[in-house]
Amino acid sequence: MQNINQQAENMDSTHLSREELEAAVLGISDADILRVSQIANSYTGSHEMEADDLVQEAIMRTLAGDRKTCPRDLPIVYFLAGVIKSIAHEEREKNKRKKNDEDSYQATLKQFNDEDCSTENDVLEQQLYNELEAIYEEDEEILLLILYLQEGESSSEIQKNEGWSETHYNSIRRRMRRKWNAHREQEKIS
Amino acid sequence: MSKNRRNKLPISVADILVDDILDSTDKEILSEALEKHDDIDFEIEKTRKVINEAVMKSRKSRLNEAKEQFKNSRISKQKNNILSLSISDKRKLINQVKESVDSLTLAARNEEEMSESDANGVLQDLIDLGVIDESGNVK
Repeated sequence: MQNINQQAENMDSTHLSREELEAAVLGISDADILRVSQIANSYTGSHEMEADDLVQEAIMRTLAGDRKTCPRDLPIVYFLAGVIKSIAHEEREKNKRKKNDEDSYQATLKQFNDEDCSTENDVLEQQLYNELEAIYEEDEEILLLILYLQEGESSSEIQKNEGWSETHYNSIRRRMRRKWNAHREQEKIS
Repeated sequence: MSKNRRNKLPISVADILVDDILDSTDKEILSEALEKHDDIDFEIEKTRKVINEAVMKSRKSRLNEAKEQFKNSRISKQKNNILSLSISDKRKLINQVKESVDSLTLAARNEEEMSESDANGVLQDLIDLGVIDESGNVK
């Protein structure tokens, strides 16, 4: 039983149909499964969803059919990464709004007392950055990169400002991920 | 610092690590996983299970949506047609059907005594049997 939208979707030659998308998701390779898992784990910091919940929500949204599906020329893992990223950013904003509401009363009181009125959420985010500084204290380039990211700079702006080639930027990013993985493993053991 | 927080990344940092994960080759990803996990197959199967369950959940949810749409469209069709007629028109219609379809044996009860709910039931049966359509036309 197909409705008009599904039929139109199937006729779109530039994007996968819902059936093709489902087949692509079910046929995902082992390496891509590991990528999806790592990506979801990377995004568990700024909201309350666990990695598995992020993966499940991403698949449900991907197959819901109420949004543009995966372009034919894009590997499915890139598409899923985009959906996971979008959910993580949404959740973070939701979390931020919720925390800001909870903090508004306290912030008002603090304003009257002429104290720091940063919200709890800002403080937590700042703490996450501070903790990274401790992890990467021996690598100045990574610390610089974190500083730029904290200021919301894009990768192209960072490369331009620092005169880093794309290859050099990618090598810093790779060192950063390896060190992060090692740190997580260490945390598991201790 | 809490142990839970020590494993968390600010979102801007997560974004660039994810770019690196996507830029890594399959070989690099698999060898990293081998370094990290004792049983890589178990790790893969764990995530694959989450994905498969999500696909099943999505199928079920689509099926329920389709069922709901089907039910609603039936209700709205019925509401727009014979079930929205007055009780006297429904009785007349049942009588007409009885007279025009020789082979049809309706329960002996006189349609004049039928309650609205009985009439609705008989009309719905006639639709389901294909004797009349949703507008009350004898087929």
